[in-house]
Parts: sequence; structure tokens; C-alpha cells
Amino acid sequence: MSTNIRTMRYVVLAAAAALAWSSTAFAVGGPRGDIAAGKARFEYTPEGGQSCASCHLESGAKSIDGNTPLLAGQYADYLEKSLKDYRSGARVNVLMNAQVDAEEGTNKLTDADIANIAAYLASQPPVLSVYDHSLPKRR
Amino acid sequence: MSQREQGAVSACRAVARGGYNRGLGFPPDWPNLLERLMRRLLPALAGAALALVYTPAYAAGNPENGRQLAFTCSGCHGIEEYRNAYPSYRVPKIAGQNEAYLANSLKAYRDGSRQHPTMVAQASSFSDQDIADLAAYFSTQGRQ
Repeated sequence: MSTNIRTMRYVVLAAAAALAWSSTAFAVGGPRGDIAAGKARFEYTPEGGQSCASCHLESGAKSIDGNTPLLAGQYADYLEKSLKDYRSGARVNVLMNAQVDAEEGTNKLTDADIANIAAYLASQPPVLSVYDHSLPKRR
Repeated sequence: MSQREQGAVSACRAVARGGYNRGLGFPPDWPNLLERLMRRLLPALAGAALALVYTPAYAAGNPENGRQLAFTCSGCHGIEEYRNAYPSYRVPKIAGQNEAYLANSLKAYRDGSRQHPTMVAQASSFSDQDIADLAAYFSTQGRQ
């Protein structure tokens, strides 16, 4: 009986570990975005108007001005979160709110669009890097 | 120039010289003096004008101060693939990001218009100068 309980414990532990691992794995990539589709949607706005690429230049490696972030090589899940927050209005930026979710709903990004765009940008050669406090100042 | 006009000019000069000698008015050769002064000052004036044109709208940041403030940031932004919890996503890479964007983000966290518990808490203690310093520092970090 006691061995059974011990075994059960291991089974439960293993199951919990597997669950934790799978949920982490899901959160890391989310549903995998399609890079080619993301590139297309990034560069082309079906209903006309400004595309992402109009301001986030050269696949996100440059930008039209200093207020516009560089995106090339940024983490996909962070980009997804940002786009979803812009879409829901949780994050406020007049231009971006309108861009991903126009009042008329014309250019509204779907979840798939967002996953694709995020995957595309994350796949670009990074212009951003993880902060390293030990590095001396550049420039 | 007629004789009469010449007379008027020399009379004016005499009056000006007389005034100048009594401590009044411009020196009689003020055009020459002005020219010499301008030659001296022109580089400085041009520099000042250029500086005005190229000064960004926000306070200039000092990257050295930024580095002092940035130590705390490395706890999350300094770890590869570091994850935010609830919701779970990776903390963004910020080294090499645009300076104005970084400053805007910190200000938005500070005034609460951008929400993130940790970032709002961090930014709440920053002055405008702190934010400018951090933005100047991170924007120069790790750029290829």
C-alpha cells in the first residue's frame, strides 16, 4: 500500500512537471507564426493606408524617427503582447491603436496576423540585444 | 557726393567723435570694430545656432549616470530569455533601442498610461533627468 502511494507520488510529480513544461513551451512560442505570411502582412496593408513597414523600416532594423521602436530580432512573444495590447487599447499610442485596430475594423489584425508578424520580426538579424551591465559604454 | 553732403557727414562725424570722447554713443569707427568683433564671435555664434537646431526636445541624457541607474534593470533585461510572469512572455531586449522611444516608455510607465506592475514601480521613482540618462545609456548599449 505504502509503495503504491509512493509510486502515485512520482506519477503525480511527473505529470505536474510535464504540464509545467508544456505550458512553458506553449508560452515561449505561442502558436507558431508563419514568417512569410508575417512579412507579407508587415509590408502590405490589404485595405490601403500605411503599412507597418512605412515606419518600421528595413524589416524593423531602422525606424522613421526616434519615437518609433526598432523591432528586428525582438522576442516574438513580447511583440505579440505589445500588438495585442495596442489592439485592445490596454497600451495607448494613437498611431498604433489605429494601425492594428481601426475604428471601422478595416485593418484589424487577427491573432494569426499578430503571430505571423511577431515571428517575422523575431526572425530578422537582431539590432537589439539583451542588456549587459558588465559591458563598457559604446560610442 | 556734393560739398554740402560731405560737410554734413564730417559734421556728423565730429559730433559723434565728440560724443564718444565724452563717453557717449558708439566709437566713430564702429563699423570696423563691429566687423572685428563679429569675426571673433562668428564661430561661437554659429556653434550656438547649430546646437540650438540639433538639441533634442527632451533633456540631454548622461550615459554615465544612466549606467549607475541601470544596475537594477539588469535583473530582468540583462538575462537572456528572461520571462515575465502572468502573463508569461519574454522581457524585451532594450539595449540598442531608440533613445526617444525608451524615454517615452519610461515616462508612460511613470504616469501610469502604460501598465506593468514592476515597470510602473521602477519608473515611479525616476526624475526626468534619470529617464533621459537611462535612455541615453541603453540606446548606446550593444549596438552593432
